[in-house]
Amino acid sequence: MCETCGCGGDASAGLQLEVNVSLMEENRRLARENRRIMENMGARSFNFMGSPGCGKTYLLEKSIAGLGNRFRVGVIEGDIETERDAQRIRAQGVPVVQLTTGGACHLNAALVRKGLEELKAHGGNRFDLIFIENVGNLVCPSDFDLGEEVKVALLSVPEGSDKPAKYPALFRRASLFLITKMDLLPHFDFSVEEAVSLAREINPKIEVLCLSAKTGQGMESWFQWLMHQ
Amino acid sequence: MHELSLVHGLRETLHRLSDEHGGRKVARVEVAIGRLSCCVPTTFSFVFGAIKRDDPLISQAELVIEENDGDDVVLMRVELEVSDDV
Repeated sequence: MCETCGCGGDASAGLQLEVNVSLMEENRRLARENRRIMENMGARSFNFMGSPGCGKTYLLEKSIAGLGNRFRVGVIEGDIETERDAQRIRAQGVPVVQLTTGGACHLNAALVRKGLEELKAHGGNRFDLIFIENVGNLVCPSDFDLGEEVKVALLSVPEGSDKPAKYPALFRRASLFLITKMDLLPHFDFSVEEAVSLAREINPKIEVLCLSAKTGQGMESWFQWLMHQ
Repeated sequence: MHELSLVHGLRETLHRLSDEHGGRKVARVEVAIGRLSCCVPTTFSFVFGAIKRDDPLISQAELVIEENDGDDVVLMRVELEVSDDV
């Protein structure tokens, strides 16, 4: 009906809809399904996020080597291009799937679903630990729930201790903050105290570990943390 | 960069709402963007402008963005043009 005069003409009328739906809702729905899939596989799952070059892949290589045969580990690698990271992980002898986003700066739940199906095809249905390495980026990945149990934020010493204040979203959502490349501390003006206090201003409950995958410093505490998760 | 995937999600939602309510065109879209969402409002507008040109349902839609202190991107309100004879 025409609202002006009540005639039955073909004038258009506006319809106001109160929607109130998150544009992230579809990703969240898929993430909830991923969470259930990984639980059914018996796995604890970890989403590693940090800048390009902060040492995510190296930490995974050294962690897989250090954990030895104690756990069945599966890895999902996210990158914009190439199989390079998957090749490094494969050399450690564990099942790995490389996801390439073709330009996107983060993984999303739909991609990880595909990764989980491939991981099952390569490595079977049972895992103790699933490590998901996100695209190197301190900003966008934290916005996308993948269905992981634990979000891990990595920051390397050369990046500077002011980064938790400058990139708050990741540190707000992570439950563990790993300060990596601690062997470089003597060469940089990085204050561990500043990094930790800035992160805790944003997220008072965040746990912090300092390590160097290269020298092995702090790695035993990291393994203990992983095992008690 | 992920404004593009958000806008694609928005477009799908607008098509679904329009189908459900017999909408001919989307006249107005109100989106709330949280400052902690890592979504940049100007980029979101830019991408929406680029996408809407090729989509008759939303080509005339006015996008209104409100910013808040949250960490989410939420489609708040939609105004649809509906045909009288629906």
